Amino acid sequence: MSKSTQHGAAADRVNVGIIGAGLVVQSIHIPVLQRLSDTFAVRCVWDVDHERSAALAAQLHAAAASSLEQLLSDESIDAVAICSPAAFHAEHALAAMRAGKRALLVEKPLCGTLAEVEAVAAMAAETGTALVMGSMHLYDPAWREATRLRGERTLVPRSISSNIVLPPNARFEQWAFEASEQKKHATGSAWTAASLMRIAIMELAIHDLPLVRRLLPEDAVPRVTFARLLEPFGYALTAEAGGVVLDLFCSINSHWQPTWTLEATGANAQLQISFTPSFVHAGSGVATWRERGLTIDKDPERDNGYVHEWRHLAHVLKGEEPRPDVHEFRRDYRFAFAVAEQACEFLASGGVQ
Amino acid sequence: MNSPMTVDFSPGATDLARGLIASLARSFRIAEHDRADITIVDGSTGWATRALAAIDAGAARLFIMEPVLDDIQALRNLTDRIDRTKTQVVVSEGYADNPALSGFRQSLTHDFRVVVLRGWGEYTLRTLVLMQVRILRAIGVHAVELVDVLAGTDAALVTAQGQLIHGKTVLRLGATRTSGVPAQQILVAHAGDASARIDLFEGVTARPAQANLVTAAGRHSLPTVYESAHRARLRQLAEGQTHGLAGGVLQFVDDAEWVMSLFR
Repeated sequence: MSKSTQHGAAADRVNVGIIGAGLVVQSIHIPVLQRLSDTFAVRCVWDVDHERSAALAAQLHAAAASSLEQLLSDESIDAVAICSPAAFHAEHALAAMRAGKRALLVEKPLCGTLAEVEAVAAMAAETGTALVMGSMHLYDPAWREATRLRGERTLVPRSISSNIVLPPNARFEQWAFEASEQKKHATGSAWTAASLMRIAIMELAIHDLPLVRRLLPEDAVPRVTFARLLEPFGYALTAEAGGVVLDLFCSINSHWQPTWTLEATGANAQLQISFTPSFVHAGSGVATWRERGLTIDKDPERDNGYVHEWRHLAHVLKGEEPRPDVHEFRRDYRFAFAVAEQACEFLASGGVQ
Repeated sequence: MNSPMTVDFSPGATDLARGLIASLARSFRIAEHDRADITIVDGSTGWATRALAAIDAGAARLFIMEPVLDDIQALRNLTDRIDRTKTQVVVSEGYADNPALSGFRQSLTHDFRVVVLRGWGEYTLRTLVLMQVRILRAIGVHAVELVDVLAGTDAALVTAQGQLIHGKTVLRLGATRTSGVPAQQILVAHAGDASARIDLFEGVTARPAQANLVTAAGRHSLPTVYESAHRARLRQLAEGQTHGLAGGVLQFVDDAEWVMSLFR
């Protein structure tokens, strides 16, 4: 069997450049891209930490770029995964679009500021770049089934609860991958309650906030009424949007049992989705729809949202699916940003910490 | 063997109550021409007034089955009357008196710093939150102080602080009115090294609560108890135990007043 038959014809595959070589790339995106090697080939990796990108590139038989410009100037690269810290997403996305890349997968959150989101959205619209957000729960089969059921049936939520209970990341990292290089990063900065809350919202709650927004009335604006950090790490946040009570809760603790659920309850029906933790490749979530004596269960699938978001990118590039609506991502970001800012303001103004 | 206690019913008491009495035939019988030892009062809206009427009619002991959050003034009148007449009044609550809560309470030996309750059903928001407060009482939470409340028309989220065994605990009570799914209350307690969860169903049936404790050693399921809350409460009454897990009627009225204050 020829190599091209084993892995798909080289010309048909999407050549990928990866910006960032950290934990999310090593534990999530690389295993997914390797599973989808019929469709994708990682050509080049760049990270500010050159040792790290070199180690990862060697593992993948890819090139290690010495600079962002070098990666973006590689004309063979069709799509770029932007997995750098969020503060650099806009800079890297704009540079990739200027370089003529046809598709970007940008890890969440989309950017660091509202102004950056506007700039990225505007350039994506201008250049026709396919912009795929790394909101894996949006691509999870459980959520897709829930969306399909909402189209057929009726659920007008009165309350929505996002409930995340996780052991510390290190445990999942150990289960999911072997880091190409392990470095202790300095964490010398003094964290304020507000800055911790911002991280909690924009890095943890952000997984579910796009789903929460889609369950709300169109253009519902969040109003945070209460926010509290929990020990050792977590948050309890109360908000209202479009007349719906929102309960956002997360607890990171040291025992072994993770739970990650999204629940929406309306007058006549209830939707519950149980997701698998991010780092481990444990398949899709499970969706349960209940209404008046009827229960519809969506069984788990082998592929989780990460697999589907990459497949979506490939289908868009082949013209098999429409380009994602970048304005939806803008709305997602605005929603999450508003929640984070209000929660931070609540704490900064003397709210319970 | 003691002779069975005699039971009569205030107007509106359901067939369910009659069925419960029939299931405890050695302990209770329905009063015929003799004076009843116990009067069962249906706990739907207006129960405090019905209970007052029963006391005025000479009832010796009241058993309030599934009390909702009733008119506060009527509740105060009732507690005044109880105080004056020394009538014994037992409340029987589908959630808070679930027999599984006793074992669950004993399993809460870790340092649980957060307790989250989510519940829904076809009750008023006030009654749903009161049911949650009563569940908290049943697991030993006391000194509850409100921190925040967000109450919409059909959903509410209350954040409070209370004391539970080892110290201060953050309490989150989420309640939603719905007729789409069977009523349920789910309590999850979080400690740094453990979590405990109990799923409670309405008390009119013997559908057992499901409770478990997760620690480093694994997940331990607590025994299921196929007995309804009301039947268990009646048995306690027959055995002379008139003080329930969540406390007596006075504690119930205190909790009802606290819940009413949330929705002003």
